[in-house]
Amino acid sequence: MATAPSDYALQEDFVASEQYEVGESVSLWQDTWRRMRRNRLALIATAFVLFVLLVAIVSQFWTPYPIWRQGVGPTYQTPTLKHPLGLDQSGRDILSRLMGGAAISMEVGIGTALLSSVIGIVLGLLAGFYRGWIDSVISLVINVWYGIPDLLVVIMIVVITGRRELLFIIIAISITAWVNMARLVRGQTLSLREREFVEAARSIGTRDFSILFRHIFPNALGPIIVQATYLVPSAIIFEAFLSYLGLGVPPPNPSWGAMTAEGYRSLQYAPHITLIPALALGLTLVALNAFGDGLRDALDPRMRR
Amino acid sequence: MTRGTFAYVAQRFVLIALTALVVSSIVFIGVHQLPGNAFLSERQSSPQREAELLHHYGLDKPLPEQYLAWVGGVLHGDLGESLVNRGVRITPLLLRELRVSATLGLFALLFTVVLGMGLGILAATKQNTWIDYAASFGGTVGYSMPNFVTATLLILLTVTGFYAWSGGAFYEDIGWGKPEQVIVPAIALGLYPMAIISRLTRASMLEVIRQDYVRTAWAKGLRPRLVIVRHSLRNALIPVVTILGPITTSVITGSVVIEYIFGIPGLGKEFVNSIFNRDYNIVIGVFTFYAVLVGLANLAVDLVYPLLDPRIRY
Amino acid sequence: MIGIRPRAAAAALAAGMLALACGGDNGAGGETMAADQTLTFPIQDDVETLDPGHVSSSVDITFAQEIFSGLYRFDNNLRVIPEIATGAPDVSTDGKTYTFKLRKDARFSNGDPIKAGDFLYSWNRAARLNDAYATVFAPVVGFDPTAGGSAQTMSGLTAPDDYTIKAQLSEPAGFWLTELALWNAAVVDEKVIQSAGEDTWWTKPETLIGAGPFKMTARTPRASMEFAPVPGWWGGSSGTMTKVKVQIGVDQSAAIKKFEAGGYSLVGMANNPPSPDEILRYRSDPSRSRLLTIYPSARTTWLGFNLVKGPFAASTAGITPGRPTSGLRSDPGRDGREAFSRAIDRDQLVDVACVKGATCSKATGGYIAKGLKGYLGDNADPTAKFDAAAARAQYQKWDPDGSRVQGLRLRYNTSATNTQLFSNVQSQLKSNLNISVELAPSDFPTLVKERKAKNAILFRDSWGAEYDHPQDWFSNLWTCEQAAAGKGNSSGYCNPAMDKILAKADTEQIDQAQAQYRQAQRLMIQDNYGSALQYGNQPYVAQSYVKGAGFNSLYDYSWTNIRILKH
Repeated sequence: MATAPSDYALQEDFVASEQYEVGESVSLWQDTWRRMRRNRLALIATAFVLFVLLVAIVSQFWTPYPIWRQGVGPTYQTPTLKHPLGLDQSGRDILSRLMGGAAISMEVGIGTALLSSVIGIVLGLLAGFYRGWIDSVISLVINVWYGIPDLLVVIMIVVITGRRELLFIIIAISITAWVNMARLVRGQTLSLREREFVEAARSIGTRDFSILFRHIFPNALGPIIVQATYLVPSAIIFEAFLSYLGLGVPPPNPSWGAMTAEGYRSLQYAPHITLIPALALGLTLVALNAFGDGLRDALDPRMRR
Repeated sequence: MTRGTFAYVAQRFVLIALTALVVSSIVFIGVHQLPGNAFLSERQSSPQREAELLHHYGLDKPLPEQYLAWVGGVLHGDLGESLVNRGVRITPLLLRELRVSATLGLFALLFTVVLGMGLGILAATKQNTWIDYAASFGGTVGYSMPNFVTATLLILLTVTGFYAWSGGAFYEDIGWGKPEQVIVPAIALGLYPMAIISRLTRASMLEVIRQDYVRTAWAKGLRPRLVIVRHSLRNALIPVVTILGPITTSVITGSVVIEYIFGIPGLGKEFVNSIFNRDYNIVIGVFTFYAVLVGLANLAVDLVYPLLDPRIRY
Repeated sequence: MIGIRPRAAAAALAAGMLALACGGDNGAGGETMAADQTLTFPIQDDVETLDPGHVSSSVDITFAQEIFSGLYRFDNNLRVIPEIATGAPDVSTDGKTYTFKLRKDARFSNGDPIKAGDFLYSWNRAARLNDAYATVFAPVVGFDPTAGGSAQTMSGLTAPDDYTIKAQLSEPAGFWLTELALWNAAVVDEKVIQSAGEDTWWTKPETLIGAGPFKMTARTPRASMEFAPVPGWWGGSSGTMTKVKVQIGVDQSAAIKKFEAGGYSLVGMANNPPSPDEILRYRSDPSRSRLLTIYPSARTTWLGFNLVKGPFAASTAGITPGRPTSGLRSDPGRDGREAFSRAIDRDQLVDVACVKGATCSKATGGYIAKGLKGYLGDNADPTAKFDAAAARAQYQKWDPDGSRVQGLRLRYNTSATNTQLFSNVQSQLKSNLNISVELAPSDFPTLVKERKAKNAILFRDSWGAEYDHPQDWFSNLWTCEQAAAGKGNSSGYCNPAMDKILAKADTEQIDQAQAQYRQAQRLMIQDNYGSALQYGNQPYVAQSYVKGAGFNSLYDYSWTNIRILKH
C-alpha cells in the first residue's frame, strides 16, 4: 500500500544541496546566484538572452546588408549562402533585419520594463505606505485598469494619437503595464511597514522618504526584480501584437512582429519569411520567461532550507 | 440566494454598468479628437453632401450634446449606426458577432481549463520527475509565444501541411461556419491562458499536498487518487477560480488577433476592421460590449467562489 | 463607340441592338451547361450603397451595373451602346441639344413601365443629391442651381413626350454621351423611393427596384447577398445564371482556400483580388496558371509633388493655389522633381510592390493608364526612365547640402500594397540619392483632406478611370480650377496654356480630340508634374468551368455573359 513518497511530493522539493560551511555568511545575492547556477534551464535561458542582447547591440553598428535596402536579390528567395536566412517579399536580407529586430525588441522590452517599473514602484510605495485617500485613489485606478483589456487600450492610444515612434509605443504600453508592479509593491509595502525595523526607524524620527527608500524598498527588491524581469517579455509581446496589426513602428523598421505579419501574405509560397521572425520571437520570449522563472525560484524563501 | 447575496449582485451590476459607461465615454471622447472624418473620398464630394452626412449622424452638433444623445441611446440598448455601411444598426450587428466570439471563447476556455488543470495536476503529482520538467517547460513555451505565432504555426501545420501531405485531397477551410472550424483557433487562443493555469494549478496543488490534512489522509491509508481528488483539488481550485477573471480578459484580448488571422466574424475582428475603416461608432460599441463582458465574467467568478470556499459569504 | 453622324450611328445602333438582343452568349457552340448555374464569389467589405444617386466605389458599381439600366451602357469592351435608348441621340449642329428616343417596352423589375418622366426624375434627383458623380450632369443647363439646392429640377431637361428626352447643354461636351453610360444616369423608380424612403429603399431586396437584368433576392448586411435574373427581362436574355451568391467579409487567404475546394466560382470580382500568396503560387504552378488571368485596371499611381509650396514648388516664394505654376520665369523645384523620378527603377518597384509584377505594371507612358484613350505609349515618358547616375548628379546640383529634403515625409494611405510600394520608393531614394525620406501613412480621409488643402509635400496620388475618356482625368485632377484650395488637384499644378487646349478638346468628339489630349499630357510631363509609378492590374482567378467572366479595365464583365459549364 505504501507507494513511493515521491508520488506525493512529500519530500522537500528542490532541497538546497548547497553545502554551506558552518559559519559562512552568504549575502542574498550570492545565494541567489548560486541557486541560479544549479538550474540548467535558467542558465541556458540567460545565455540566450545575453546572446540576443549582443546581437541587438552589434546590429546598431553593423549588419550584413542595410536593413532597409530592398532588391538586394530576387524577392522571396529561400536561404542561400549569400543570404543565410533568405530574402523577404521586398528583396531585403532577412538575417540583417532579424538583427535589427532584436534591437527593437530589446529596446521596447527594457524600456517599458524600466518605465512601468518606476511608475509602479513609486505609486505602489505611496499607496502602501500612506494608505488613506492616496491608497484609495491608486487602488481604484488599479482595479479599473485591471478590468479593461489592455491591448485594446494601447491600440486606441496609438490610433488616436497617430504617433508611431518607438518611444511613444514604449509610453503607450507602459500606461497599462505599471499596474501589476504597483499592486505587488503596494502589497509588499503594506506588510513591510508593520515590521519592527520600520517601527524603530520611525521612533528615532527618520523621515518618511528615507524609510521608504532605504528600508522598505530594498527589502522588497527581490520580488520587484522578478516582476520587472517578466515585464520585458510581456512588453515585447505587446509590441509584436501592435506591429502585427500594422500599428507598430512604421517601415522599414524590422520589428519581429511586423516581419511575421508581412510574411503572412505569402505564407504558403515562401514560409521562411514568416517562420524565421516568428521563431526568433518565440525563442527570445521563452528564454526571457525561463530566466524570470529561474530568478524567481532562486529568490523564493520557501525553497531555501 | 440570501438577501445579502442578492444585494451584492445588484451592487456589482451597478458597478459593471458604471464601468462600462466610464470606459465607453473615454473612448467616445478620445475618438472624437481624431482628425478628419469617415466621409471624405478621392472624388469630389460636395461640401453639401458632407454636411448632409454629418447631420445624419448627428456629428455636426457640439460634443456634449452628441455625448448626451449617445448615452441616451445606450440606455435604450441602441449603440447607433455604422458610419461606413449606412443603415446598419450596431447593436444587432455586435450581438450577432458576440455569439461567434462567445462560442470561440468558451471553447478556448474549455481547452484552457481542462488541459491546464490536467497538466498542472500531473506535474504536481509527478513532481521533480521528467514529466514535471517537461510540463513546466511546455508551460513556459505556451506562456511565451505570442498567439499569432502559435496561430501561424498551427495554420502551417493543419491547413497547409495536411493539404500538401495529402496531395490536395484533405483540405481544412479556415474561417467560420462549420463546427470543426472552431478547433484550431480555440487552441491558438487558449494556449497562453492554459500555460498560466497549468503553472498555477501545479503551484497550488503542491501547497495543498504539503498540508497536514493531506498527510493525515495519507497516513490513514486512503488510496492515493481519492486523497488527491477529494481533499486537495477543491481547495487547489480556489486560486484558479480567482484568476479566471483576468484569464477571461486575456482571452478577449487574444481573440482580437486570433479572429483577425482566422477570418472569424466576431467582435475582435470587428474591432480591428472598424479601427482601420474609421468606423468609430462601432469602435465605441465594441469597447462598451467588452467592458460589460469583462465585468460579467468577473462577477460570475466571484459568485462561484462561495461554492468552493464556504468561509466566504457576501 | 456611338458616333454622332447618322450613318455611323445607324451601324453602331445595329451592332448595339444585336449585342443587346443576344444578352450574352447562350453557349458558344457546343458547350454543355452545368445543372446548377449558381455563381458564388467573396468580397471583403460590404457595399456602402446601391443607390445610383450615391454609388461611387468599385464594389458598389459591380452590383449597381447589374441591377440598374440607363439610356446607355458600356459593353464588355467599354464601347457605349444603347440600353433603354433606341439608338444614338440626335445632336444639334452646335452640339448643345441632345434628343434621345426611348424604347417603349422597358420596365422596372416590379413591372412598372419606364417613361421619359422617370429619367427626368432620376437625373434631377442625382443632381439634387450632388454626391460624388453628380457631375455627370454638370454640362446640362440648370445643373448648378439644382446641385446647389435652390432648384428642384434642371431647366435644360425636358420630356416632349413619354418616350423622348431633350437635354440642353450650356456648352458642347463631346464626353457627355460617355458619361451617360455611367450608373449614376440609371433610371430609378420614383414610386418606390417615395414610399420606401430616400435612405432605405436600396437596403432591402423588395424595394431595390431597377431596370437591369438582375435583382437582389436576399441580403444580410455584412454577411451575404443573393441575386437572381429578372424573369422576362425587357432587354432580352439575361444569360444562363440562375443565381448569384455573394459572401461578405471573407478574408483573402480563406477565400482562395475555399475556391480551391470548389466553394467559389471565382475570386477577383468587385475589386477583391486574390492574395499575393495565391498569385505567386498560381503563376508558378503550370496546372494552376490557366486559372489566373491578369487584366489591366485603368488606375495609375504616381508620386505627387507639391508645386505651390515646399522644396518642389515652382516658386521659392510659394504660389497661391489656383495661380499658374507653369510658364513662370524659372522653376526652382524642377530639378528635384526630375531627379526623384529618374532615381526610381520601376522594374524593381513593380517586382517588389506588385507581387513580382502581377498586380501592376510600370508606368512609362504618362499618367493616363495603359489601355485607355490618352495613353502616350510605352516609354513615352522620359522622366520615368531610370538613370541612377544622372539622377544623383542632378540631385546633388539641386540640393548639395541636403537641406531641401530635410524632414521630408512621404504621405500615403495605409494599405498593404501602398506600404510595399512606398517603402520601396523610400529604399530606392536612399540607395540611389542617399536621401532619407520618412514614411507617413495615415487613413484615407486624412490624406485626401491634406492633399486637397495642398499641405502634402510628397505624397501618393492615384486615379482610377471611371470611363474611357481623358476628360475624366484632366477635369478632375489637373486643371487650374482643381488647383484651388480644397479641390482635387493635389499638386496645385496650373498651366493656363494646357487648360486652353483642354477646353477646346472637351467640346469635340473623342476621335478628333485625342491628339489634343495627348499634347496636354506632354505639357504636364515637360513640367515634371509628378513621377508616374505604376498602372494597376486586376488579377482574377476563375474555375476552369466558369466562362465569360472578366474585367475590362474599368468594370467587371456583365453577369449576363457568364456561363457555368458541366464539371
